[in-house]
Amino acid sequence: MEMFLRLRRLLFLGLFLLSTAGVAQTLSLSFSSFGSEQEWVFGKSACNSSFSVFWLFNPIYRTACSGLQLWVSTQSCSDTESRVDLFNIPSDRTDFLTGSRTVALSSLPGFKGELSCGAENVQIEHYICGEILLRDMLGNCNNDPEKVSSNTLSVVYKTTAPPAPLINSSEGYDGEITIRFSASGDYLNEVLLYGKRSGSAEDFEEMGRVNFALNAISASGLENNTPYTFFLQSVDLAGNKSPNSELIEESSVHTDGFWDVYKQNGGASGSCRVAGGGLSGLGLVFLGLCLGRRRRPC
Amino acid sequence: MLSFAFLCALSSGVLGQTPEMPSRQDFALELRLGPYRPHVDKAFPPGEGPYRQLFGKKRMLLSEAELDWQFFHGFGSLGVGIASGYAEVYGKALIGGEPSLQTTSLKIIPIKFLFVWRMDIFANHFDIPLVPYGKVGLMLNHWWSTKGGKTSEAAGEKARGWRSGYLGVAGIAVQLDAFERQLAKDFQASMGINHSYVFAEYAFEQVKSFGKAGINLSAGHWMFGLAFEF
Repeated sequence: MEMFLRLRRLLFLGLFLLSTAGVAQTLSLSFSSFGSEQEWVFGKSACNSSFSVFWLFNPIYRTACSGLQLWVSTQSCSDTESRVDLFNIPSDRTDFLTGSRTVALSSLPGFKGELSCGAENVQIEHYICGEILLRDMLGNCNNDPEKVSSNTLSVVYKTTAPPAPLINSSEGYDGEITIRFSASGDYLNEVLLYGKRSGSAEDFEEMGRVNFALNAISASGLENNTPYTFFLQSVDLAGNKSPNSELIEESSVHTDGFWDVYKQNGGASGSCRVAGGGLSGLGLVFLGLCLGRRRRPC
Repeated sequence: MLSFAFLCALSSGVLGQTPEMPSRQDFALELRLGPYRPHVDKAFPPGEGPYRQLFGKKRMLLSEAELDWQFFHGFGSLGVGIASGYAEVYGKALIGGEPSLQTTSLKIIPIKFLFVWRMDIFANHFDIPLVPYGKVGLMLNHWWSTKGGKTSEAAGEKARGWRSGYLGVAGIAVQLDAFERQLAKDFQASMGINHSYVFAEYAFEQVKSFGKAGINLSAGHWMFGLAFEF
């Protein structure tokens, strides 16, 4: 019995140690203090601005052997040739575990010569990386210490236009048309719908916008049995617009919903305002009696 | 007298129990749902009913909540209550008689004012956990129909309004206390819930605004749910 109890205790201890080994120290980077944004795509208009890098270090059971190293690369976090150090936050600083620093876009190494911030038709990517060296389980800093690496933040300067969306099909119904499309390209954000009455001298006006992943966009408030001409345009996260898609002509047509069929087939109309009002009043009196009635004694 | 008091105290001490006091019971709460299809098409010749044409054989799922105030406990309990719920059904609008991609719907909010009689003496006094009950009352249904996400309009009339009527309900509830007495006691002590039930009921509703012209929202339908008395 005692042997059994010892074995059981050992098993529990082993399971506990295994479970805690799965809980590792983490180093998280983000563009916002809430820790959710890890990608920033921008265009020419943001060239003179800067961005903030927020970090959060959870040491769990291990302490730091070095400060927090933050660097930028134009290739990847593992590429040493393109690595340019940004900041070193010593481990004895109050903001070592969590803090932020501001980085000017103009200081990023990828913006050189013809590829300066402001260049047209280019896509320049930078990766912000972080790392902390850890003490071993005995609290020592080794020659080859273990390290905790952060996730990667992407800073993308983009002035290339996405490709035009492809219109797959369209359908018109009551006062409304729906166009199904496919949109592809890097860092896509939205698809815009422009339209006007066919043959009119008016300019095309924006009639709708949707997230590019939805694959369908609608315009409403149209006059039935009147042809309209439409085109689509993709927009990426940096605000670059694609060329216009092909033009498509579509008309909305009257459809019969439940109420249309009800009336067409001779359904009686009429609401119950008087009777409804009376019954509502009855309901209110009913409630008033309930609330006003004295509670019976216990 | 003193020796009697002494014996009572002794028995309480030995048994470690105090006599149970029946707790007050003033309210009942019901949560229920069931299939529901209003008799809209009864006013039309066969094959021309708009409900069948647009929604086919689909039934709505009606969900409701009811709160009763039990003002009398004697031979069963008598109470007055108010209930409300929501039901909707969707279909495809027609172009030339054929379904399009545009959605049309019918939506209903019923509001009911009820008198409720629960025959709970079997459950509360004879350990038979069945409680038959009946309800009668008046009701108001708010309804509206949409097409393409907006309230429809046809022949200059908006597709929305109110219809009134009356209803009768017959049902049977199974008192769950009998199956787990200790849990029921704990429920009462911690949350003040005296009894809990599962139930099934059939509702007969005449909602035609007492003969006034308009959409027929009458229905006969089953509902199933949970009830709590507290």
